[in-house]
Amino acid sequence: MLKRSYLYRLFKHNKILFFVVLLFCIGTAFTNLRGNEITPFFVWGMYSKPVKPQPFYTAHRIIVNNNIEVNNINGFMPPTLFYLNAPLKYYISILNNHNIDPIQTLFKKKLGTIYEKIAPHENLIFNTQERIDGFLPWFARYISTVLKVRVHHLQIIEDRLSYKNSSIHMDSSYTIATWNQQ
Amino acid sequence: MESTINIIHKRTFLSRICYGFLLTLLIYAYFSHGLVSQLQSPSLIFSNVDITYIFLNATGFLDFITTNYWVALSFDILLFASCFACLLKPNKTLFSAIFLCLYFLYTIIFSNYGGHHLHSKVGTLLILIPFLFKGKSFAFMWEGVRYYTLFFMVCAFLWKFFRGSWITKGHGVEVIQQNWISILYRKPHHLFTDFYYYLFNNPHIADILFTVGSVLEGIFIVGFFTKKYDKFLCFIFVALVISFQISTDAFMFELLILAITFIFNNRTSSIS
Repeated sequence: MLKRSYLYRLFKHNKILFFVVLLFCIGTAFTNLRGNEITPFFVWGMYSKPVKPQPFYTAHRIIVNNNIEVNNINGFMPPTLFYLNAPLKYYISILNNHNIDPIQTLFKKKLGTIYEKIAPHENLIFNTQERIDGFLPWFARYISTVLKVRVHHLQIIEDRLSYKNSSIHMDSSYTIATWNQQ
Repeated sequence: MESTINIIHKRTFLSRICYGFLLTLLIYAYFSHGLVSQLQSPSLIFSNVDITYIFLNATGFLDFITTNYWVALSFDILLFASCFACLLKPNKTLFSAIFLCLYFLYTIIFSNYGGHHLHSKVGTLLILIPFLFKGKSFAFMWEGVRYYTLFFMVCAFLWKFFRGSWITKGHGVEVIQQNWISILYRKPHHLFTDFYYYLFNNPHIADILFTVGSVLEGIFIVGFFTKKYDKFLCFIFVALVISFQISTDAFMFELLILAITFIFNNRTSSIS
């Protein structure tokens, strides 16, 4: 049985390759047991965390130059849609965290006093104020490329939606951020 | 011995399929503004708690590529050129190594500045690894990718099993609502509107579908013991990737390339 196994046969074929594959297996097992991913040791736990019913769901719209609405049904291809949505969501999570990168907050909380050791490098690995301030100008540049229009004004709106009585309702809607070209 | 020879002799054919798929994805990335030079020098980074990302951000290497337009453009040109080279000269493992390194960096850049670490590109990264080798080593690594594909499907099941999401009442419908409500609100006449509303109104059906999906992921454990059901696993794999799109609006089609390891699955057991 053991002699027929993949790893045994690989060991017999090429010992270096065997140890590389074994290392990959151990690394992958380790990260999956810990739940923290270290590329290329990927963790495959998507949608495994039990979710409780939410009172509302948030969705974002971007109003470009006061007249063009960019949202998730504009027919953009998935990679474009990803770049219109995911960085914006992260930017909003930074705003909601008092303009501090949530990953930095997480590191401080988890590492405790050990954080002092990485503190000198925090400007390199977390989003600095300069990076945060640079988000909206970058977003305008990216949208400008996608829509092929000159963007001079951006308004980001958060809608709160809920599902009640067999239909979807907009409970509230408010502006999160605006940007004007200087 | 015959089956081993088969897969080794198919190396050129398989490389054409895989690099052809990758080249198609790169062309697709170009038309969807997803190449590095098209990202317009993004500002925010997202290391998460991944040491690899933290290290690459700390070195400033990713910023160097993305914030200099000509460097970014050169990177994209090299990415395309090395993919072409792999297609034209499938036996030159140097080209395969260069392309793998560049595509790995591309994957990191795309996720790092995208604010979310994507898993869909993992499939395309993994399928490139066997082409770093020739002969029997290629056959072994090809078989290894098949085992990894089985592993991550089983792993996805185990995560759900141990976290208890498959027995959490309302989990299935909640996942669908989180991902679809905003789309349905803005586009009430979506192709699957009736289907989603049916699930919203019958959450137990959504929960059953979620559990069935989880069990189907777990079924892949069979592949560790036999290759007899690989065609069936291939079908399930494709069905699950499509169902991810329908249930979570998650674009995971890049993973589909891994299904090829269930189709060309010659065993290397006769190698000694």
